Amino acid sequence: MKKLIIFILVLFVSIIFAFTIKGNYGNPTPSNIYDNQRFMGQPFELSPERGRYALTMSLAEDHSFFLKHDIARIVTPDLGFYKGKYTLLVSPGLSMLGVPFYLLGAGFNLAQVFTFGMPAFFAVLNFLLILKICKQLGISFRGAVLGGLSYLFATTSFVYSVSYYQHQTTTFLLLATAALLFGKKSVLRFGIAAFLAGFSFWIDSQNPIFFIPLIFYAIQSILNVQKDKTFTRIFLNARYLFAAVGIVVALGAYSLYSLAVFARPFQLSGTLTSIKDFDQNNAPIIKTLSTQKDTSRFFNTRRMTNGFATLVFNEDRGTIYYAPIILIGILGVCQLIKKKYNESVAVLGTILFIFVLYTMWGDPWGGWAFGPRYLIPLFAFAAVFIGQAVDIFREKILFKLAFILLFAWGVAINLLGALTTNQVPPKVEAVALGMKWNYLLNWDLYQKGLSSSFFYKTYLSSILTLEVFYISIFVSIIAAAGLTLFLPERTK
Amino acid sequence: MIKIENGSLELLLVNSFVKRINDRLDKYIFSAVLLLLSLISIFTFIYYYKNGLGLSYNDARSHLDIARRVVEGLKPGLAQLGSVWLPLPHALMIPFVWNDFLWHSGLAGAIVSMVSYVGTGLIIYRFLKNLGVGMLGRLTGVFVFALNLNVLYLQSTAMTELLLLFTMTVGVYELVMWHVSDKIFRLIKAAFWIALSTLVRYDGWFLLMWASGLIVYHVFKKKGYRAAEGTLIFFGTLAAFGAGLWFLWNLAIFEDPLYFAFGPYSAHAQQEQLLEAGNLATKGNLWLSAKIYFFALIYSTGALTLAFGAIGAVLFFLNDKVKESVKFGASALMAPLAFNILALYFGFSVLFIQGLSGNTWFNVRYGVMMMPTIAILVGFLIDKLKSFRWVIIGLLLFVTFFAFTSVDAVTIDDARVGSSQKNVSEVSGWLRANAKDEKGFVLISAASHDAIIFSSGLPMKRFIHEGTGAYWESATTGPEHWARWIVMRTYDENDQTYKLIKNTVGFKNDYDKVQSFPFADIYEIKPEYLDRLNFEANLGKQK
Repeated sequence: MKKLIIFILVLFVSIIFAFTIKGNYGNPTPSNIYDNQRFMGQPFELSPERGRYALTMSLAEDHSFFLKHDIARIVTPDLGFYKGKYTLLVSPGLSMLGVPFYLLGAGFNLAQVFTFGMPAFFAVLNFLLILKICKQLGISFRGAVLGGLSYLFATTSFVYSVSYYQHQTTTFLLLATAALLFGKKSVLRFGIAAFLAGFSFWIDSQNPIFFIPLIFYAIQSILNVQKDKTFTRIFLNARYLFAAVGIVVALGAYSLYSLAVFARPFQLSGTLTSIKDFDQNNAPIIKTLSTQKDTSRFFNTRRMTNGFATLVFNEDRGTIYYAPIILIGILGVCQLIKKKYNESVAVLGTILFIFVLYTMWGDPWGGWAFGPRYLIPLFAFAAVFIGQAVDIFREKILFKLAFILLFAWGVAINLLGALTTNQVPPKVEAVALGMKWNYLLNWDLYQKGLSSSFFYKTYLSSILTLEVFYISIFVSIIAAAGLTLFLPERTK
Repeated sequence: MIKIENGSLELLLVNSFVKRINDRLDKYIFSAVLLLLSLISIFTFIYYYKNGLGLSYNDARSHLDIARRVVEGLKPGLAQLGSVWLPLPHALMIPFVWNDFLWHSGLAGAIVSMVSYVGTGLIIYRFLKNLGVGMLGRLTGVFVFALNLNVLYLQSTAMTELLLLFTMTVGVYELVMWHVSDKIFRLIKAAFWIALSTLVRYDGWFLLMWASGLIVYHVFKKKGYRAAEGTLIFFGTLAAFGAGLWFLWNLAIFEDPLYFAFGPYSAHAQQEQLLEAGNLATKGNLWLSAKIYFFALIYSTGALTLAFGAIGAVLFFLNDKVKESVKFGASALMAPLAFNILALYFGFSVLFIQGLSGNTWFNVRYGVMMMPTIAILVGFLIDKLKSFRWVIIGLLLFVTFFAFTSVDAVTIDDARVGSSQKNVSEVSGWLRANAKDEKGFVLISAASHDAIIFSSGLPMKRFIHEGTGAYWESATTGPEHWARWIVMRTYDENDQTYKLIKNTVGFKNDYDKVQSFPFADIYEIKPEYLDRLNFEANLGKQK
């Protein structure tokens, strides 16, 4: 029965993603992207998705990590320059993973839509992993489902599941590592977990930092201290040390890639010379030295207050505006720690590491973006605590009411983002540009009936208004969560 | 014993051996911390000495000059300690500052800060130990303090912060110990250290009042009014001794016991100027005062450390297992917080935060005053929140790592680019190039240009300044007899030299302006009047 419910849920969330994936029909050429699809509401409206897609395109079509000039043109300002060749300024992992999706989609003349479907694919996997972790931590199926749905639809995770961003993949690697470590102990599982931790470097260079609490969890789980009246025994299961091979393989592979491409074992793409744009003669305009990235300045503790305010309270990116359901998770922290101490501390540690790191980040807004996109992995781990809170307070009507209200708010806001645009400036820039800086900008597009959804634009726009489409999805999600929350317990 | 069986490594330890190790650790850890802090202190000083940042604060140079004038100059003597700053930091520099290297490297002043740094780290350890905090909490507390970049920078300079932190923290520690034990010797020790803190900065005076209140309350509750009165007098006699001496000093030297408070070089006088210029926004605004100091705290102590410290404070003051008397005693740890906010509110102090008070920093280092308190509270938090201790320690290490990689020391910015910094190198460079190997005195106001005096590299006895008695009086009346060079801000009435000589005939007729810099102008006597000039200090010993 539970498997059937999971199947139905997976089908349900997949359909929602299928309805909301951003895109246009066809296999776009670089010039088509450059001329027609770089604008607000279009699938390539921002440089992160353009850059990663460009590399996917280059890998699939030209089998090269270096971009041809016409592809390079669409990548600016995230374009790197190395020995006269163009490359991407971000890690290549996501683009590499996207190649099979691209090739599969290209066969249906839907290369872009399929490639953009990859984050949605990982989002579904993340949903399943949240269910798994909740089970490992003794959280009820109902709590797990509500935690999972909250993560998928009531946080900015939704918006970044339907566009070509790295966040769902990063989240997948973290959740999968946690699930592997929290389960039955085996060298193979630990080895795979270590590989995933190492592979995260391929996706985003700062990712391995988020694995620190999980690595500590792994270390302490292979250590065992026993004490009796005479002796203290410390056991170390030495076989598990072989699991470290996983991380060596992943990072070693990166090193080989880096050597082959940049002739250096650990070249961070972000530190390459960057190109701002191309001039009228199509010659690259190199950024001035002061605007080049400096790795030693990526994270700065001086920025923590600003980062904290931005990620939590500020109107343009604050979690309390974009994902207030996360607050529910706080109610579950203490109980879960009492129940499953080591695992809960690892989960909480991961949350705090992600949060603290991004408070130090130079651009906590995530550039022009919808909501606090950097916190998406954090939201996934917080979903576990939401599940626990549901278990504790599910009988309280006030809790149910608060839950459904916060959930509905989150879905309403994030569905708006998913269906319209991610191109939302931070307030610091928006004020000068005379633009809106949060979901009110999305609301304007929504009211004008402008949607980025491939499905809506291709199949439904002639028969449905965007409002009806929006409300249908909204109601479906709320109904799914409402049913899970309010359905009475089965009597045995 | 080590065994390997079925891929499992087993380390077998006899419990008596484990206990022995624990005992040894307990016995030697204090010495190990002492050694480690000393090494960190020395290494950090060398680092800042080599990169030239150790003397970035103009105040650091002034402190060194004040101490130097006691042992060298046209009128050396204790009176040179003056009234601008409280005397203890300079008095402690005297044994070192006679040496040119120690003076000009800043080490004469930094030694005091360095010893204070080590001492404060050790007292944090003791404090936590006596609160019943375990080894991990104690060490975390010590290193939260010791690895704070602002603390590390200030301990490498001739500034007064570390000495104040040390004396205040020991004072509070002894006060808490007295609350616990009621032993009179503890009270005497508390009084002694608090008395020393009153001779470092006025923050100590506030602590004195706070401690007095706590003592009265503690004794009154236990033994009634008479005992409380007696204990207060007993405590006050020693603890307020330094402050009393300061009034006497001002009376004896400047003929006004309140000269330090209202004299022309007092903070009050500076604040008046700032008020006139509209730069004292915190005065009369409690919310803004609290906000400004809160940000100074964040920038000086670190946002995460401060957050953990705040949680630690809640746990400490709400903890049933901590005795009420200890909580009351330890409330004195909060004195710097209250003092700094009130000082801003009443306009006794000024603090600029970049972004809140325009685009500059000024006195942001005052946030460091809460650093020992926060370190103690974080140590306590580690001990009480056992479930989260490794997460907290991990996050602290994580943030400390990034604080180091991003060189996040706001005090360096405060010193280098803030209002504490004045570019005196042009003027001092000119003096070094043109006056060092020539004969003759330089007339200059130390109150305005002490940093120039320091940076010029010239001996103190080449300068005629406010503290040189008859030389100053003679030179400001007839500069053409004494001053070969005059350094001053022309047309600035706050510059005592300009104020006094602007109308003298000698200055008007006998000098050429040889250089003009944004910070000050340099005048040199015309060559034809050189023969009238005194090149020797021939006024004899002055009183």
